[in-house]
Amino acid sequence: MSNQKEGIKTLVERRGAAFAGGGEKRVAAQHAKGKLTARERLALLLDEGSFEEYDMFKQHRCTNFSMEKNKFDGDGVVTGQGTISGRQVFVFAQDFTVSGGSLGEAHAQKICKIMDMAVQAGAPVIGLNDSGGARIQEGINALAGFGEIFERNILSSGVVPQISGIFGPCAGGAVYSPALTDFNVMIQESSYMFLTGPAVVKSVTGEVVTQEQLGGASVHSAKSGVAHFAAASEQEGIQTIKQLLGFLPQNHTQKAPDRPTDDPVGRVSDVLNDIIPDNPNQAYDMYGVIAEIVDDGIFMEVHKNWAKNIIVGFAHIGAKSVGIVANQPKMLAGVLDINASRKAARFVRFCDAFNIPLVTLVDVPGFLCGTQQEYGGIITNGAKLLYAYGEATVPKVTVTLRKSYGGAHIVMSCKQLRGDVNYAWPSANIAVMGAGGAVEILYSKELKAIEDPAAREEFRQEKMQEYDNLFCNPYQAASYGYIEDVIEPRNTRFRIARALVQLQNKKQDTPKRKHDNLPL
Amino acid sequence: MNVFLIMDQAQRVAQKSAHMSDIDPNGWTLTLVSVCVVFTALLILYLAYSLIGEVMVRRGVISPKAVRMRRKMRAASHGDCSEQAAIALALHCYLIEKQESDIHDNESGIITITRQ
Repeated sequence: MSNQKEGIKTLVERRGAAFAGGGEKRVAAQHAKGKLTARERLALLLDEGSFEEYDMFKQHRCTNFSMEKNKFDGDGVVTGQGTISGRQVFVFAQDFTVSGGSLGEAHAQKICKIMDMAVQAGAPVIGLNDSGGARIQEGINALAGFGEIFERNILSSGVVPQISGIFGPCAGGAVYSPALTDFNVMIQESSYMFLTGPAVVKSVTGEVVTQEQLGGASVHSAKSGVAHFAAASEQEGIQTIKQLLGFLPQNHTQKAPDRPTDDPVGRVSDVLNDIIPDNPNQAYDMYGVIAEIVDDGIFMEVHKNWAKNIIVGFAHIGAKSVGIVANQPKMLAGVLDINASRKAARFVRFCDAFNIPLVTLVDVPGFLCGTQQEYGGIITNGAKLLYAYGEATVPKVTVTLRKSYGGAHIVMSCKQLRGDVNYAWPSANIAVMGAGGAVEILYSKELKAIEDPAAREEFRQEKMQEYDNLFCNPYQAASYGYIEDVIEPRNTRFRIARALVQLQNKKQDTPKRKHDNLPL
Repeated sequence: MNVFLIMDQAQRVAQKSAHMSDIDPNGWTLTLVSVCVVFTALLILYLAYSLIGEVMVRRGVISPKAVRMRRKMRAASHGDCSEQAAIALALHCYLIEKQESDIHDNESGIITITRQ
């Protein structure tokens, strides 16, 4: 056999060994836990035949603890590029079957390389995490590797979309990479994220807690907000990533791709004309409004189970990708609290970073009161959302459906925060506060002077009616030009779609500076 | 010849008319007899149709159930009218409300700007 043919034979053998990962036994153990291998995940994620792997033969160069005798091609991570629905992406998938997916110098270098390539190519980065953490044998080089990855997460932030899939353990310092990315997808019952595991927690605080209770998907998707999506299975998690990408552009200089639809832009929704109850204290479901205005009723919600009093997510309106922010009257009457403010602020800033127009549906009675909120910093956190909207230069279309009171009115993309087009339904109440509270303040002396309870109540009702007639309608705001138009609810979809097309060439600048000082 | 026959007929009719006017100067008898004839004919027709209906039910051409239903409906329509009044009022209110809810702020529904 010629030398060339021998070389080709060696290549094929080595490639075969690399494809096998940690070997049949370890692959079987992975499957037994209900988990896929790194290559299986990538095969599901990427278009068939599109994946090109880089650094398949890269190995570590550690000699501590006789590590030189234990080298493996790929060093526990599969990296490369491929396509999803024809769109280029750069990916890495940690291979738990190889050295537990532990991260060392070479492992980190592979990830950093594809992140650098992604920024240069202007394409998203998708990381599938499944790792036991830092490779202890490599010592400080492992930590340095993490540092290099984190720095690239930071420098790529707002440049290309970064999505993390947590498909196994992600503990210690390793959690900061997903924390720095734009979206995290976790898998129920098989993925965990925590800084310190249950054993250390028990020894330090005495708390006895399982991995799932400490850092599972249900915890992070409902309590901490670290996870944006919680999937029931790895297949569902991968599908979530693919679906999410459909709403995003390749990078910050491009717009998200259109999604052609047969859903007519001029479709009227009579349902919306009746959705607001006559009783102002009665809730209705904001999901019903969203479903009527988006193309084909398709809405991809982000952070579905966290801070449910505000709804954020992606949809298409008139084929254009939009980010939707909407108060949910069914949960806490739609008030803004710490978590809701943080949730919406992060989403608004992501949309602004990637040229995704914002559609805001407002029904907010105010901020949640109480010591828990005040001590928790509702002021600073509310300011985050205010800042995010004020800073955003993407097209901003706002529709006030019902209440919009006080500071919350300002925070929810009002005209003064450079809202481009602000509409209101006839049921909108745009005021400093509701009639009940206002009358108690404005007429406190008069009310105290009336001794008869019945007469006092009659006086209160009369004044509330006067206040309602004057302030609790959209026409006062319209008379000052703070809203562009009062619209019939059933026409909301058409008005939003037209506004988005009118704003398609919007250009807006912010003053040049090194960077802002967002209240964190 | 025909002319003589017609003249003879006319003379006989005149004689009989004169005889009638003697017997029944106001025409009461004639009226009574003609009314009786009409009503007798109607009665005979009614009995004939009833008989035919019974025969057809007995022979199974018409189902007894359908007959009972028709009789029930007939009875009901002749009974208390408050149900019909309620239905009519409800329809009226619905149509008024529909008319009012058909007032809309109509939009063109078309976007003329070229998308980019």
